Amino acid sequence: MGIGETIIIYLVVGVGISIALVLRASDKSQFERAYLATVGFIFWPIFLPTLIAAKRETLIESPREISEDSNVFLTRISKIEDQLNALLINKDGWAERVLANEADKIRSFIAAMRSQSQRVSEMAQLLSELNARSSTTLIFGGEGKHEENGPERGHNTDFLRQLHHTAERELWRTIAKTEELITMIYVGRFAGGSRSEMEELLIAISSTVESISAVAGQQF
Amino acid sequence: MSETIFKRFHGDGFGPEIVQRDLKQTEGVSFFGYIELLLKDRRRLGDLLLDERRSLEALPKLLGVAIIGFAAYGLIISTVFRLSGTIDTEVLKSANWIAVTLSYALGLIGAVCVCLPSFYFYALLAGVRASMPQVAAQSVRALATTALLLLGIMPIYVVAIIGLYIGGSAWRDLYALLLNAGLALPFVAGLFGVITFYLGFVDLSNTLPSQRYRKCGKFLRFMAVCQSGLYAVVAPAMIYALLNSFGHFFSR
Repeated sequence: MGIGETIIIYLVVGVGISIALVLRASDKSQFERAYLATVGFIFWPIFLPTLIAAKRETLIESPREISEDSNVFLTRISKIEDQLNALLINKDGWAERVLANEADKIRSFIAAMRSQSQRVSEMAQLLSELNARSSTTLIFGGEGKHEENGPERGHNTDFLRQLHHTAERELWRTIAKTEELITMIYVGRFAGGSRSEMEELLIAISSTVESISAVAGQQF
Repeated sequence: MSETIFKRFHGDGFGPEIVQRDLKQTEGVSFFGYIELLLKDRRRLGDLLLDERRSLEALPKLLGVAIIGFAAYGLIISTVFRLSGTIDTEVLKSANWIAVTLSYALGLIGAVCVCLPSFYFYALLAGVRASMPQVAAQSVRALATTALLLLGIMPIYVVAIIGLYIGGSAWRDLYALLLNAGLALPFVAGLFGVITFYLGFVDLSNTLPSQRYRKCGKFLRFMAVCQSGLYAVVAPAMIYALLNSFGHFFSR
């Protein structure tokens, strides 16, 4: 196949894509449609992906990712719990003794993290269901039937998404801080360390957990 | 009214940062609005292109900026060559102003068309969950940035050429050098475009969860460099080929 034939095939595909672009832009002005037809004809490889792409509102996580995130949370919380339990059993160092005094607080703290993780998963699940429902509406065209509820429903979904993101972010932060505390205890055991720093971190963690529980309590 | 556009993950282990933008500020950006964003607020434009719906809307407008910029460059450079009358290159001797304008405009944008499947493949290989339109939008954004920078450089180039021409025989060598260097200007400006493309790709990678980002961050950056390198090789070859073909076609 020579250059002439290649150009002909390229242009034929270009005609098809420019027609598709014009049809899709039926709500646009005539100038915009003419422009789209021209650039779509010449540079169709750039526009082809926009035609075959699925209609999506924003970057929304898939259900697979949600379960993946939820598993990551639970795994990390379990790991933290194991490490803290091991530290509570060992009462040799000053850091462990500090922790032993706070044993009740630590247990409630782990429980709060678990319940927060569950809450995040529930919200993610709900969001996933809402997304699936809205995409079904888009595909099967059931939009018009309940059009009056559209903006409010969208607003509520956005609000739920925002809540989910905030809760998830807070949980990540708490997990990271707790892991920092554990490493600090390990360092303290072998190299000595600042007791005040560890106590400060412990206070910070408990205040974060308390704030999470308070926010969760207010919102739900 | 605000809307959470996307979730940008940090690689520092402290979980995702929620990026929020005002809907009123980002919805229905006009053609000139995109030029303004390219010049003044590239970060916001990057955030905007991470949203697939907005990247679909932005694509034709950014492409328009690129076409206008490259076409203007082609016109100016061919006029400068025509007026100077000192063309040494064999390819350019046969090319007229239409051939030069078309070659640069079509060549620089056409190179993206050729590389686009590879860009998408690289993105997938690096683990970025970017859609094809998002990759296309990032590529066209880099083109538009190059075109705008090129338009900014052109007045300086033209003034320098005129100045050296007026300077007479004392500046003849430098004049000839600068005249030929004009053909390489898109590649000088293109470096900035390549950097924009690289940053855009890294931006897409920020949507990865932190664990995955930590695992494949280096590989992902390597892929971004490969993408930029691929374009930097394909674009000059494409321009040369088009210049040759159009030169022969229009000189008949």
